Amino acid sequence: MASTEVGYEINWNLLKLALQSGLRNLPATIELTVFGMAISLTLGLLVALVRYYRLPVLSQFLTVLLTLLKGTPAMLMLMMVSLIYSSNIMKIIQYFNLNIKPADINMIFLGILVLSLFTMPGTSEAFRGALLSIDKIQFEAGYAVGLTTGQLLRTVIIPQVIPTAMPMLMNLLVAAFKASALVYTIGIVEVMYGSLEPCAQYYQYLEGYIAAAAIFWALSILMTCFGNWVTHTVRIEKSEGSV
Amino acid sequence: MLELEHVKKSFGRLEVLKDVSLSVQTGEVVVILGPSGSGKTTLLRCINFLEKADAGKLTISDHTINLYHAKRNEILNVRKKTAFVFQNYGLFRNKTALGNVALGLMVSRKIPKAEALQKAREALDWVGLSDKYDSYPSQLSGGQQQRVGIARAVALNPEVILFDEPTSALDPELVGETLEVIKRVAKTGITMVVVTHEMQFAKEVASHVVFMEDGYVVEEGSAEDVFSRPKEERTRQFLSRIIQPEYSI
Repeated sequence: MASTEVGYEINWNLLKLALQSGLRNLPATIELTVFGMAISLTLGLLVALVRYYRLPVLSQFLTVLLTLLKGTPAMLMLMMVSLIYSSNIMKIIQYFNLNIKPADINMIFLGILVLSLFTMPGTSEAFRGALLSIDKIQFEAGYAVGLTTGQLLRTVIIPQVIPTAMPMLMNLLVAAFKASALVYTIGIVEVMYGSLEPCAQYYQYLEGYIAAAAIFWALSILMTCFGNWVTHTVRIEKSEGSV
Repeated sequence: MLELEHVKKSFGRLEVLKDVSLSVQTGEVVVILGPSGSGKTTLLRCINFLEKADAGKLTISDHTINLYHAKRNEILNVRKKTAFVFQNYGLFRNKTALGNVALGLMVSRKIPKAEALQKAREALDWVGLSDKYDSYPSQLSGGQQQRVGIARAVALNPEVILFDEPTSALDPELVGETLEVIKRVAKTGITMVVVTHEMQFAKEVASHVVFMEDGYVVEEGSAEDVFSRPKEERTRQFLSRIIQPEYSI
């Protein structure tokens, strides 16, 4: 018994619309990923240094914080941050006597904040692992020529840490890019949100998800290639550092 | 010029330096000898605070500081007056030979870049590495790396250079070229403290010899005296085992 009935008819026109709408919002997704990663890398490096040098109190505090962050699902973190935000934003506006409405504020910064918190345990561990892999003699040689710790980190250690951590950082970049799709659940307009937007009129959502998936696939492949290129180009031998 | 008084250092329960005092005059080449584990290297590392001594005083060019309670800027000052040549070369992996020599000049000594690079080139020429300016440590042999290490120390124009077993990690064939360079450094009249196991070399360069064992200085004196007329039985024993008139199988 052959059935000619197809469960779901793809609406090609809708798929095209969804792709167009998704691509229009690609800059927002890239903004989320790039700024989220930039903050995550900066914080991650600082956290790694604090933990590497075992600064009292701060180091223990950060270890606990990282454990909590690692154990929090991204979705949960997003919901919590957005709830805390929406229940306090009116108070903040009133307190500072600002002449804006909550709806006027672009929520993208919340997405950036959550993405950077979500990837931070990963980036800081990548940096810490790379720091731990550096031979003690690199530090001693720097001190012996009269460098301060700051100068040593800037000119010798960090230039060696970055190439070592690069493969892991590139993986995290792709992970952050994919995780950025979650922020559409709190109403931030990006690729996912954009792709689903035209679907609402048709009550047909599969096209929207396929369009979003296609965009994420394409970009992930590009990013992976970029990551491989960076990993092979950035080498300790070429990483001069600032002088 | 450089004086150490009552230096003590323990690693956990192990007392490596029990009570060591040492005096180095300007222009002297002091060679520290002794069996493994006698504390030679630790003593050297305590001088520029790569190791923090538990007690003791250091006087360098009329400046006395407490080795245990030294402040950060005092430590930095001592490090700027000294240079260190490591057993395992300790070259910066992310810098070329030229960058390795120039880094300390530019960043620590604040010498302008062009001048620092010029000094670095001269130092590398002097150790016979004119063709290796742009080579990274990973592209150099052990002997070449160690010569870069020596150039780095000499270029800083320090008051004293500390050598920590500079040839121990080298392939036997490369020991000679490195020792030749160190002899050239000694001839310039710069003050040196050398920890080594190369007895022949020690005899050639030393003006003063210190024999250490078990965290104490057992004997010290002019190179001539210690090598030919050791006073202590232990020194005699050590030297007789190491320096044999001829090798026989």
